[in-house]
Amino acid sequence: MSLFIAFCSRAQLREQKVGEIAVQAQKQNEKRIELNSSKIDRNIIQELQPEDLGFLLQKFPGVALKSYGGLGGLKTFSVRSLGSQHTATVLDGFLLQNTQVGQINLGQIPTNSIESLRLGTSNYQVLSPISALFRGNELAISTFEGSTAFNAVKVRLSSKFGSFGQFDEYLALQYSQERIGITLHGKYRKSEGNYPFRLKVLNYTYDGVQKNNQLEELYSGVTLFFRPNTMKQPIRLIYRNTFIDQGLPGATVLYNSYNKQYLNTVQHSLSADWTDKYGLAKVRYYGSYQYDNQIYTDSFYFNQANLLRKVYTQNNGNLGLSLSKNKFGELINFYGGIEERYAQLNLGNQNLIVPERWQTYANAGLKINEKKFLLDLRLGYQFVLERDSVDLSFNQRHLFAPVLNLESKEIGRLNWKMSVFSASTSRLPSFNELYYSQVGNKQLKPEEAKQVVLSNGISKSFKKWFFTSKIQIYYNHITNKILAIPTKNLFVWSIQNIGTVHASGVDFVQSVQIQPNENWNTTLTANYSFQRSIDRSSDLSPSYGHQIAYTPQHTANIDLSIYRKKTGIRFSSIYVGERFSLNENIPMNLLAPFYTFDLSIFQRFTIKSKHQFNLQFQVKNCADVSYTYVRSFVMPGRNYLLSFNYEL
Amino acid sequence: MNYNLFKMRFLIFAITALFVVSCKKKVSAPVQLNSTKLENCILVLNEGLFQQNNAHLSKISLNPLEINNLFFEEKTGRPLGDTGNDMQVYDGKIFIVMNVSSTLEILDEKTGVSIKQISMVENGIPKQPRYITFNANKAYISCYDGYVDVLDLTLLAITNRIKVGANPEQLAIANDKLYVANSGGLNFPNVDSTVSVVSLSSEVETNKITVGKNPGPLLVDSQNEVYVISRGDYSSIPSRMHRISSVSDSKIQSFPFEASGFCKMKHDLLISYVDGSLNKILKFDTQNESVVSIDCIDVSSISTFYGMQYSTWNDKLYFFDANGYVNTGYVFEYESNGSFVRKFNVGLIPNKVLIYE
Repeated sequence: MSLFIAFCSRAQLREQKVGEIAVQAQKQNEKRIELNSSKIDRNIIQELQPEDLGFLLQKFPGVALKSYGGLGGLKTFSVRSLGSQHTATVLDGFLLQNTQVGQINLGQIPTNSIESLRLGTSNYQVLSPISALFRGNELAISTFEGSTAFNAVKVRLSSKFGSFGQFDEYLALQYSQERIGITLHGKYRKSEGNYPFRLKVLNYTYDGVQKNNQLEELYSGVTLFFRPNTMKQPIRLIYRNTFIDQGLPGATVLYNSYNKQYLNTVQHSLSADWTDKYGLAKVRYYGSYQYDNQIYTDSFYFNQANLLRKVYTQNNGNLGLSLSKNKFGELINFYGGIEERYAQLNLGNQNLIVPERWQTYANAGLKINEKKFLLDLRLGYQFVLERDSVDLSFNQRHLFAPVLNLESKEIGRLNWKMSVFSASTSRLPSFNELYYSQVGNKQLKPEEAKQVVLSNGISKSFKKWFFTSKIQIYYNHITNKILAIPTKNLFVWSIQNIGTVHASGVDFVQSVQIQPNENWNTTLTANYSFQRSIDRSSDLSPSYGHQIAYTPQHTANIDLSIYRKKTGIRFSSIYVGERFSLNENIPMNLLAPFYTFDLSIFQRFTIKSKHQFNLQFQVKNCADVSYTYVRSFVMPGRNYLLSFNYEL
Repeated sequence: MNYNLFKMRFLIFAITALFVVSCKKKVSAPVQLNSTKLENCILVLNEGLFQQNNAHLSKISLNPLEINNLFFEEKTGRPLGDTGNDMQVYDGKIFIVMNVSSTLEILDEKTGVSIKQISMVENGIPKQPRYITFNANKAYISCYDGYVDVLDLTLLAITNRIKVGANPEQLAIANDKLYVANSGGLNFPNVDSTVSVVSLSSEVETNKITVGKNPGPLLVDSQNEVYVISRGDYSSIPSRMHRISSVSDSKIQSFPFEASGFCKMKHDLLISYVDGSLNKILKFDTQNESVVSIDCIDVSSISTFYGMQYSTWNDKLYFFDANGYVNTGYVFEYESNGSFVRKFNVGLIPNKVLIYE
């Protein structure tokens, strides 16, 4: 280790010190409240030590997580009752795509390297791909691998050991000179995952140990960035790969704990972009290719081979450019762009149908940045061509996405801000929904979402403390909701556009930071969300007027961190209110509310002002609460994590 | 305060806090089991949804009308499990076949109190039991792993496994032989097409009769003839009913009408089928092998038709409405002449009833 530190010390020649400056900048940022999005930065992520992105997302207001297990388990989410397909997941400026199921598994996005995480209504930024503007929300993930700093040497190292055989190692090295740089990263994670659980079914409890939950992951990649003489911004080239082998414990079935399902995942992605200036215009060119291969096996399957093996291969690619140009100083900003996307799914020898999709996006927007307000208007147009290898005729779709955002500037001593956001967006049916075996329906229309969000926020900084407070009231109207329903009998299901949901609610976000002197620093953050998401699909249905499945009316979280110099403790809690496993709101479908909290103790220390270390011990689910997000999918009880981080 | 002392106190506080909260354990309240005699009621098996552990046994008390969907839990002190597939009464006992939980629940017929739960797991592999039938002192349980398990009713233990075809479904006994419909459903679209014939004395499969693709529902009529429905591929290959002689063990007739499911009512069969998007009931006379009526009972008010059952106890018909599969279902009661009597809102996906006078 000392040799390693010595090497890094020599190599780091010209990088600026960021310590106190960063803290001050952060304070400044926190004063400026962002109404239409919320952000979590690296410091908080490090304190939380989340096992994956799914856990982190619960810290945002309005998010309902569906977790199908602990480490490695599938995790999806909805934002204000808009399913995860309505949220664009953007990693370092590139849209992550899974056209097969339409949603990204948050359990497969590592958190070790995340620098910041932002969730909010879709908003044009130079680094956002144009396709992300067509979704209702955007989750923007910035990682260390995606960052570019010149004349620097940076190192990120983290090592974790936890309960249930968890072992997690991550290392990233960034080395750059004046015009060129490289970042190498790798992560290996392994877990036996055999956690004990207590499942409550009605008033009865069932104790067991989660089996077939082993996980082995390897993530690695390289980022090259260089800055030709003519360009001020660098060209980035990012390659990432992922290899995951995991058991699938599935639902806990009473009296039957035997299970032999496995999933093998291989992903490769190559992304490139650069941003350049032409006079007052800023243009970003970008493109990416993503290859996904998943092999699912079930060796308890009673067919002739006594084995079910399914192979899914996806190819996704895109090319695009976005541009932005200011007029009259910063008073008027024109922005827009175009993007072309291609997606293909291959089901190996199980199905001869190979669906393909071409999407052309075009977007034009105008921002008026007045002294007292910011008006943002944009219109998106999407042209979609779809076909499959059996029926070669093209299916065409034309979709529009108008968006309006009117936001005031800070008013008065409390820096009061308010905004109105309105958008009409849609999500396309996934390939599974269109083509899967006999269930798919090629006539499906896109699921449409209209949202209106009214936001209000204040922030105030005093000598020794500051606070921010935000309240958002929203109404979402979702039509043509895509649902699977049985047609003739239990064997013949079909996907149909039959659902209508009216969702309304309120999100509160409060944050207070107190710094009585230079030794002490306390931050308290609290979120509360109320959601009323009502099924309005058919008044003949017994669930008409009921709260839709897996949407708690009440969710909340409270986090408290206390620092004294470089020693700290963090209390982090989550409350998920009662919800129903099916749309019919009856006691048999009720899932119990739960409240869990984690406690972390950490010690940070610095050597030669460059080498920053963090040693942390964390107890997760301290109260050993038995809970499930999804019916019968049990979550781990109390568990422990020891982590060590090094940063240069 | 000394910095090290502060850190030490900080650590002690944190660790103490952890232990205080961690000592709290929830234990479920003890259940008061009761052995009240069952009478003037209907027990309904609600299948529930796959991997949701929400199969239930409903008790419909008829006078006064009261529906208790947690009858099994109250009687046994534990949940029924996942996917209740079949329920039959024999020898003073109720047998409930739990498919995904891979258990056989045996209850006392008079009280509903649990006698035994048998785990249907073989060498760590769940056998996925489907249906049950009886003969003399034995019960026969079709299992999706390609076997029929033999249950000794005195020992209440599995004594033998009989190899049959792929993914066997319903089974019945005629002429001292066991007939098992081999669906092969998990090899879809290359499904099975046979009915296995098993000698009850040797407990060995002696013959396989080819009927049609994807056989499932199977019963024996009052003349000891076997009827089986091949369900086709739910698309281009239509479903058909076939008649098998239990003397020659051969298919003697296939009928040219569609059939989704059936039940026996005296000398007739009531056969459900789909006409366009409507479910209809066809009455078939098994004595002269002819269709009596192609639309004998109006079941149009049933939103998701999920089967039917005739009760010899009260000469009534029961139709099951799965109500979209994700909502609580209904049991419709009809007179045997086809006139509607009443309906009961029960649990998820009702599929069997037992009648208590």
